[in-house]
Amino acid sequence: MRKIVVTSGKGGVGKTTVTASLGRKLALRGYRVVLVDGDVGLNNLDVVTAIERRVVYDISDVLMGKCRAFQALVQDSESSMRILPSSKDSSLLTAQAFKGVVDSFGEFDFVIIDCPAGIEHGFHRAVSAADEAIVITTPSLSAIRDADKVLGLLRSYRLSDVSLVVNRVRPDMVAKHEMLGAAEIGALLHVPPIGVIPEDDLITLYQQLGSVPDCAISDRAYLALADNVANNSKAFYDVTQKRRFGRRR
Amino acid sequence: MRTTRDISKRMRDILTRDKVGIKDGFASAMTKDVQKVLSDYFELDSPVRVEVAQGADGKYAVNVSCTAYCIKQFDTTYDVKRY
Repeated sequence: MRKIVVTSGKGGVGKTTVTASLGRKLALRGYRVVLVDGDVGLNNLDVVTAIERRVVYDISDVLMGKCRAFQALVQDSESSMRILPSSKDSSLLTAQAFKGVVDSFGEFDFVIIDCPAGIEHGFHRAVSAADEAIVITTPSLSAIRDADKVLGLLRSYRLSDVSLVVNRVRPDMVAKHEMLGAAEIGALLHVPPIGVIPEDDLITLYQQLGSVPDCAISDRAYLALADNVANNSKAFYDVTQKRRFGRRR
Repeated sequence: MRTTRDISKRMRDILTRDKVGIKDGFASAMTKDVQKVLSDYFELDSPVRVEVAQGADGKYAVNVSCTAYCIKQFDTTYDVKRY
């Protein structure tokens, strides 16, 4: 089982959307995937995956012994992926308890944890339960700055791998040199980007309907990201160049 | 091309300042001091620029750049201005 936390520091960069899309693509590749909503109180993974009306139990119910962890899982509407919804109350949710729940999903191939924004207790709780991290940023300077701070914090955890995903890239602006490209952002942060997700109007639609159409411009980017995660590789599909770069390891 | 370079440079400066803890006041005070020292030895032609960058190995590279008309002439070290 691989336990991956998706984090960013800054809010609104697309952590939840990337988590859901990555999980779906991995599930469509045949992997057994669980998404764990680590954003207690401000949970939205259920809404993004359109399961909010089917939630019966959440992580607090698991910790209170009202149900087993497997009973709290809800199947995604679009794939075989399962989602463990978060709770409104974080009083029972210590880092150790959260890790215990995550570790109970041993028969799955991937457990992907949607980390809350910020670098407070919720961040520590989510990262402590993971072995790998994916840091999401956008090309905005404030998001890159926060990603850099998060990368600094992640060094104090025993993670086997830390990768970068650059979300909401505008290829037209990158081509006109009006926006930093993924390679430049990777160089600034000293972390290789494994995913470059273009700004996509269909994502807005996706967040409202809970499914991404195959024609979405970001669909290929998510497939490439899922391949990288599944194969533990660092190749990236640069939407601005429209060609695949060589693998770095 | 220039725009991306400018953005990249600004971002690098922000990240470096965050890591080194260099505030704008610190940077200008350091630049002023370096300029004072260099102007004792050279007739400076341009303002001194000090750039601090962090490499992938975590070490800091400090680059000082300026141009000068000539080297100042003095007979002994006593001729150098004392602070």
